[in-house]
Amino acid sequence: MALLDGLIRELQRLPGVGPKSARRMAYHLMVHDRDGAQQLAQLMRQAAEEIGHCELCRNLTERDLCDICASSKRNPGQLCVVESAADVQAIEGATDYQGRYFVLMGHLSPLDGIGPEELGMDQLEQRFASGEIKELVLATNATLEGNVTAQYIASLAEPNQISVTRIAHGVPMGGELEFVDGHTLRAAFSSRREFD
Amino acid sequence: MNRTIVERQPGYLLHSRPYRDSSALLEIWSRDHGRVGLVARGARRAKSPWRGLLDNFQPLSISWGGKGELKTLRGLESGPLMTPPVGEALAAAYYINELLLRTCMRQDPHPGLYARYTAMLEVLATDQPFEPQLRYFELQLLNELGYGADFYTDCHGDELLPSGVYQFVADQGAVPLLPRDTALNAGDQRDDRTREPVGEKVTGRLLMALAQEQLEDDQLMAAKRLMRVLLRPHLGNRPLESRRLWAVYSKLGKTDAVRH
Ligand SMILES: [Zn+2]
Repeated sequence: MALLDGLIRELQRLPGVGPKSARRMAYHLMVHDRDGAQQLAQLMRQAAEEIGHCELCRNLTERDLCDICASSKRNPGQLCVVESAADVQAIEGATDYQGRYFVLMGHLSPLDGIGPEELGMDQLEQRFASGEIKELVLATNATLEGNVTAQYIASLAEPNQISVTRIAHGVPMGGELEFVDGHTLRAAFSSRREFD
Repeated sequence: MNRTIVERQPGYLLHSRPYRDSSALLEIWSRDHGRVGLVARGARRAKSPWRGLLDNFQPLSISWGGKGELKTLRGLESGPLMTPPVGEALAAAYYINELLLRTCMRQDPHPGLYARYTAMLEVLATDQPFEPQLRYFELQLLNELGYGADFYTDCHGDELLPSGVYQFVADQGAVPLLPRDTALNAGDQRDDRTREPVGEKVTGRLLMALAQEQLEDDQLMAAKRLMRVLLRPHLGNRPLESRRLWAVYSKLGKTDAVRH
């Protein structure tokens, strides 16, 4: 059963899918849902061929501009830099942020050979220089690499009179200090602010 | 290989990369076991207690177990918190991590080098110059790997002369150059900034200063060149990634707005 084995093997590319669930999925599609399998295959092919990166923010889209960048309701003067497309979804779902995004698709990672070029920083620098952006929100992860990436982007924005903020990192809501790890607690402590 | 259980071993994270869906593959640098490869199951899940701890250059207390070459992480706690290095010091810190990853075998203990690593990070967390320390680290690394060179006698067993000029040759050590070949003669090229000959030639004075850990400022450039030559055969074919990004990191000073 070379085909079936191949299918089971390929399904394991998906996050969270091990050999067992891949087998279950393959059997389900082949035994109970041939039409669904056809549709899935066709859509998968089309998506893989047509989905590219938004010209402005690098997020995934099948058009030149993603929905957020194309929307006239978003404030073009505000730019939020994130590491991944999932971060855009998270901020969209949890906040009322009305600006645009820039998706790095990673962070500076010296030992993996990921530098400014790989993250599209030249493109970001051009946008800063264009004068359109007034406010920059750095929402990279609260890791050493995420912080350094934020620092690097802040240095690119510096010559252009852009107001730069970094999202706060710290104690989770409902979190008891005792159970928060030392690194997080230190970050929370060092970014403490006026009590109001 | 025997099944091992190691409890609360002091160490640092050298590198981590995503592994399978939600796990991470860690390379750690530990006091008693050297470099160890660990699978951190579920470490990338939002609720993993390890997530906030997987930063480089922070002292950790690490527990693991398992049989094969790759062990399984069983516990991770943060040690005393350290200020992470910034700017050029951060580039240097990544560089020493990359050196250890490229040169040290897994499960090969190097307690002396571990102590040196810890001391190095302490220097890098301050504003002090770190270049001499970096050279001594490289030298100790070579010594511990068994590639150390004799910095007191030349290849014939004669004592080095401070003003003598030598060429370092693999497996031979310091080969004294005949007067007509030395860069000390008039008309020969020589680096004005360092008083040292250019190329792979070095003075006895430099070698002794390195071995005695007494490098002067005007010897740093020549020492860096020499260590580069000595390290090259042990780093593999790929260029070091940390060198490529050195310039990027060097530009970044301390920016309060985004400090950890
Ligand atoms: Zn876009």
